[in-house]
Amino acid sequence: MDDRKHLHDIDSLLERFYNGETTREEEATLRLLLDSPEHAEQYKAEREMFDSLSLIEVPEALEQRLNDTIDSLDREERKKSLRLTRWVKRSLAIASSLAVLCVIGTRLWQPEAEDDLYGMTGAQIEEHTMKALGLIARIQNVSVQNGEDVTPDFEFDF
Amino acid sequence: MDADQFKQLVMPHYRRMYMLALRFTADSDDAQDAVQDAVTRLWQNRQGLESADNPVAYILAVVKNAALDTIKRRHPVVGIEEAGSLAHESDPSEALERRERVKNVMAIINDLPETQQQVIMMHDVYGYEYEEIERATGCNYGNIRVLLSRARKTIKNHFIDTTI
Repeated sequence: MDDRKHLHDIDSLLERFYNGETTREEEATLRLLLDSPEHAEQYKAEREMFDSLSLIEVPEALEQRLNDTIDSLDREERKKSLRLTRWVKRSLAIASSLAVLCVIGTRLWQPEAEDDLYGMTGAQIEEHTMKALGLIARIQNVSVQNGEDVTPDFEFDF
Repeated sequence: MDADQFKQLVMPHYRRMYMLALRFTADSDDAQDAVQDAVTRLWQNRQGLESADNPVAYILAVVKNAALDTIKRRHPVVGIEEAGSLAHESDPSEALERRERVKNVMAIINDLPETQQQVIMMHDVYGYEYEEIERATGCNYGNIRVLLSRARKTIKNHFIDTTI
């Protein structure tokens, strides 16, 4: 009795399927019914058709997989950019420090040239040194995350 | 172009990308890998995508290349055509049979009239609902049902012929 009911269900659903009238739920039920071994021979063509169509269905997980891939690529790129920013800032800080040390060193090793180092007076040298030190402090204090531009807003006029 | 803009440009076509990759690889896993590879390439060359006259054609060209590269990677010794039908799974004969079935059903669908092809792909393969197909094709619900019905019956007849 159950088997006859199943056959009736399958035939009825198949007719509606071929007429384009089935819902997604009905199509899922139809596939389940056709999958049962007792109907294998009778509905061989239908089973083959459904199996073949399911082989080319777009996998449900693909959309999520691609979105995750894009997010991951985006994160990786941001990390690289961040690492580069840090490297540039550190290099700038080191270069500035070396420049200041050179100025101070020159000043210390040539005390007799007090008033004409690079054509500057002692007060001017002090002023530029303080600016350079201020720049280093700014570079080191700038938040890496917010990506602020650390280009100095003044120029050295040696 | 940021990640959101990139997704807006690329993701609406992911089903077509997959089907194109599947056409070359005849294997779902390979096709998914190829599409993922293509998305990575597109991301890395976003400027090219942005400046392309026809972004969809550009995307599909990248997918095609990625699919061919996927086949080469999986089967480095043999040619592309042979590679598509060779197996890398544990049961080679089963995988080979599956690839043949994929090729067969795709060939049957390709032989359908264009509108039937479009409707059955959107409904039975891509999983679109009728409303979405109406919007995409401009056909009304009744027309879509008729086209779907004809396509399904044609496909069934192919399988009846081959299984008897």
